[in-house]
Amino acid sequence: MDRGKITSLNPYHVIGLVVNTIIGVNLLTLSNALSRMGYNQWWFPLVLGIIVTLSLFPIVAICKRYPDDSLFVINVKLLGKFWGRFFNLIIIVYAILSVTSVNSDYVRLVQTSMINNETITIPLLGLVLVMLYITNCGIKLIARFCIISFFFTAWMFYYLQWGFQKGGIMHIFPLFNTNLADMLDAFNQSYASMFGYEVLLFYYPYIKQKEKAFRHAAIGIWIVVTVYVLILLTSVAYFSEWEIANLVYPILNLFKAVELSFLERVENLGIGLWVFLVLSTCTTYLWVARSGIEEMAGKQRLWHLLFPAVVSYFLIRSWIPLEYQEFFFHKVTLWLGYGLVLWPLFLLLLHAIRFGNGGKAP
Amino acid sequence: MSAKEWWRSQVDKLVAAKASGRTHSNDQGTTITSDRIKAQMQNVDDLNSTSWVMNDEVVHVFFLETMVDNTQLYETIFLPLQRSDGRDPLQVLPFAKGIAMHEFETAINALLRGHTVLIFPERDLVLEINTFQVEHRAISQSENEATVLGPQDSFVEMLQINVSLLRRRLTTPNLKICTYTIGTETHNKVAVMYLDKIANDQNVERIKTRIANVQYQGFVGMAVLKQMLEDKPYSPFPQFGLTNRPDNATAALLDGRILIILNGSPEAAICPSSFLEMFSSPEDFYNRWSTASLLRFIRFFGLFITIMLTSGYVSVLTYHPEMLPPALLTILSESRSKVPFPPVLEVLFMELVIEILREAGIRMPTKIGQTIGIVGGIVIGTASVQAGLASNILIVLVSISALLSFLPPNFLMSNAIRLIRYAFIIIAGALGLYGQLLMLAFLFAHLLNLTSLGTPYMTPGIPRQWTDLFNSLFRAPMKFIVFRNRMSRAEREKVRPIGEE
Repeated sequence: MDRGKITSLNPYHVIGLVVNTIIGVNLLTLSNALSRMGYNQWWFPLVLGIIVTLSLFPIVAICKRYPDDSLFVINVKLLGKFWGRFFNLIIIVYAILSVTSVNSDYVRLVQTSMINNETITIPLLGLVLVMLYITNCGIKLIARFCIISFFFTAWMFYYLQWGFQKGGIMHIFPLFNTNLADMLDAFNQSYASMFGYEVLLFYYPYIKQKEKAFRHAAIGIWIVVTVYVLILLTSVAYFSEWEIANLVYPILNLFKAVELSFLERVENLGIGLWVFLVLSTCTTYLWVARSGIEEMAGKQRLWHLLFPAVVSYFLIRSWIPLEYQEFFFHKVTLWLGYGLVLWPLFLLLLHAIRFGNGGKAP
Repeated sequence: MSAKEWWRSQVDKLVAAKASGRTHSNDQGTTITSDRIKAQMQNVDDLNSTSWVMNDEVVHVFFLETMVDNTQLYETIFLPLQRSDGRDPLQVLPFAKGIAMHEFETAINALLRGHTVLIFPERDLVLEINTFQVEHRAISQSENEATVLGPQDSFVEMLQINVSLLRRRLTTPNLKICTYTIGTETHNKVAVMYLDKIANDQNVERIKTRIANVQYQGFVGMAVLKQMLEDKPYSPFPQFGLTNRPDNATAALLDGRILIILNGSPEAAICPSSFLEMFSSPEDFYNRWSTASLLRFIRFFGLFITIMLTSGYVSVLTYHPEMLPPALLTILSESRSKVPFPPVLEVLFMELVIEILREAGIRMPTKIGQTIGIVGGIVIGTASVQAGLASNILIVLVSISALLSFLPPNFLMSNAIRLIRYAFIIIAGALGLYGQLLMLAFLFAHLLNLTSLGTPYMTPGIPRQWTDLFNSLFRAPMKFIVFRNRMSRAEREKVRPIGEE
C-alpha cells in the first residue's frame, strides 16, 4: 500500500511502468488495426512513437509545475473543487473502463482459444483477484511486477524468427503506396495500443529522479516502438495483405509458424503468458482509479480499491449487450484517452493564466 | 470501536496479563534471605539448599542439582572456602560476583541459570558463582545441510558452544554479541551477532527493536522465534535464512548479515536473506565456479519444474491435449486408458501418496523408514499403475517433482514449494494452462512484495547493483567477488582492499 508520498520509483521502475502499461492486449490486434496501411504498416509505430513523445512534453511540463501532486490534485487546484472533482470523476471512469476493456478482451480470448468449454466467470474472477492483490500493494509493486513481466514475456521475440524465415522478405520494403486518409484511420485504430504512458500524470509524485522523468518515459516509449516494429515487420513478412485485414489476432497466427519438437500450438503458451502483460496494464489503471477515489474521499479505505474492481467485473459479466460493451470499452475509452492525453495542454494554459508561464504553483 | 482497535486492545490486555503473571517480576527490592529463597523455590525438588559452617561462620548454599556438577562445586567453592581462614570470600573465590542484598530476583535468576548462590548472613554478603555444567550433545555433522567438501561441524543446543564455534572462526574484536532474555516464562537467552563496521547499523537496530518487542511465553526453537521476527508472517515463504552450519553463518556475518541464535536451538537465523539465497549452499563456494553455477541453475529451475510439471500434466490432459506432439500424446493416452479419474484427482492422489510416504519416513525409525520408502515407492507405484489408479507416466512425473522439491538446501523453502505445488495442480484442473500462468503471476507478485528486514526479497533476481549478479544464479570465479551483496547494505562495500573505498 502507498503510505504518504514516499518517492519510491527509481528509473528502472519508471521505464518498466511505461513499457508494460502500454503493452497490453491491444498488441495482439495491432497488425489487424493497421490493416489499412497494408504492407506499409511496420513503420507506422515510428510515427506513433513521435506523436506520443511529442504529447509527453505537456504531460511532464504540468507534472514539473506540481511535483508533489497527481493529476487529481492538480485538477482541483487549477479548476476549483467542483470542476476539479467533476473531471476527476471522468478520469476515474476512464481508468475503470480501461481496466474493463483490457480484462474483457483478454478473458474472451482465453475463453475462445484455451478453455472453450468454460464460461468467462471463473477465469475473470481469477484475473480480478490477482489484479486486486497486486494493486493493493501499491505502485512500487506494480512497477516491480512490470519489470518482471517484461522478462517473462520478452523471450517470445525469439520465436519471431520462424515467422520471418518463412515469410517473404520482399514484403517489408516500404512502397509508400498509402495516403493520408489511410494513415489517419490507422492512427485512430492503433493509438489505443499506445495508451498507458499518460498514467505518468498520476505516479509522477512517486518518482525519485523527477528531473529525468521525461527521459525515462521516452526510453520506455521507444522500447515499445521497437517491439511493435519488430512484430509488425514479421507480420508483414509472414502474412498476405488479405490475412492482415481478416485475421483478428495475427500475433497468435505468427506463433503457428513456430516449430518445436516437444510442443505444438505454442500460441496457447503465448496467450497464457500474456496474462503478465495484461496484469501489468490493468493493475496500473486500477491503481489510478483507486487513488482517484481516495483523493475524492480524502482517506484510504479498502473499498476504494474493491469498488472499481467490482464495477469492472460486473461490466464484463453484466447483461449489457455486446455491441454496447464494444462501444463503451473501445470507443468511449479511446476518446477519453485522447482527452486525457490532451488535457495537460489545457491545464498548462490555465496554469499560465493563473500563475504566470513557467512558474511553480504556490 | 473498529475491529483494528478492538484487536489492539485485546493484544494489550494479553500482554499486560502476561507481564503481571511473571514469576518474580515484583520481587526486586526484597531482601535476600535463606528462607525467602526456599519459599520462592517451594516444590522445586532439584534445589539443593545446605548450610555449611566454615571457619565458625555459617554459609547458606543454594544450587540446582540438575544444572551443577558436585565435583566442580567441591573444588571451586567448598575447598577454597574451607582453606580461607576467615578471609573475605570475594578474595578467596575469584570468579564470584556479588549480588546486592535487595536484588532478590537477580539471585533467583542466577540460581535458575545453574549458578550457585552463597549467602553469608554474618557479613550481609550474597555471592553468585557460575557453576553451570550439564550434559550436552557433542558437535556433530550437519544432517540437514550436509556437504561433501568443507567443514563438517554444526551447531548444537548450547548457545555458548554455538558462539564459540563462530568465535574460533572470526578472531576479531569487531564480532559483536548482544544477548537478550526472551520469553515471559522461559527467560531464555537469545544472541544477536554481527560484525561491527560491516553490518548495517540500521539493520542491527531493527533486529534489536524487533526482539525487544516480542512478547511470548517462550521459544522452544529458533524457527518459532524467526516467525515472530519476519516481515510478512502470513507468507508461506521463509524470509530469514536458517542454517545449522557455522561456516554458512560465518560467511553470512562476513557479508554484513546479522545472526540470531537462540539458546536451546541448533540453528542460526540469517537476516536479511533473499529468495535466491534459499537455493544456495555453502558448498557453492567449495566447488569450482563452473560446477557451482550449474548446481545453482539446477536448484533454481528445479523450482519451476516442480511447480509446473504435474500441474502441466493436469492442464494438458484436461484442456490442451493438442499441445503435445502426436507421438507423446499416444503414449500418454495409452497409459491413461485404464484410469477412471480426471487428471486432477489422479495427480492429487499420487502427490498425496508421496507426501504420506515422506511424512511416514521421517517419523519412523531410520531402518524401517528406508524400507517403507522402498515399499511405498516401488510397490504402491507399480501396484497403482496395474490397478488402473494412475498412469505410469504420472508416476515418473510425480517422482521427479518430489525429488526436485527437495533440492533447495533450505528446508522451509522446500516445504513452501511443496505447498504451492498443490495450488498449481488445483488451478490447472480448473483453468488449464491459463490458470497455471495466472498462479505463476500471483506467486511472483507475492514474492516481489516480500521483504526481508525491509530489503526486497527478490534481489538479486532484480539486482540492487550489477556486481550482485556475480553471486546470484551464476557464481563467478573468486577473482570477481569484490563487493559484498548490496542486499546487506554493508557499511564496508568491498570484501578485499582494492584501492580506496
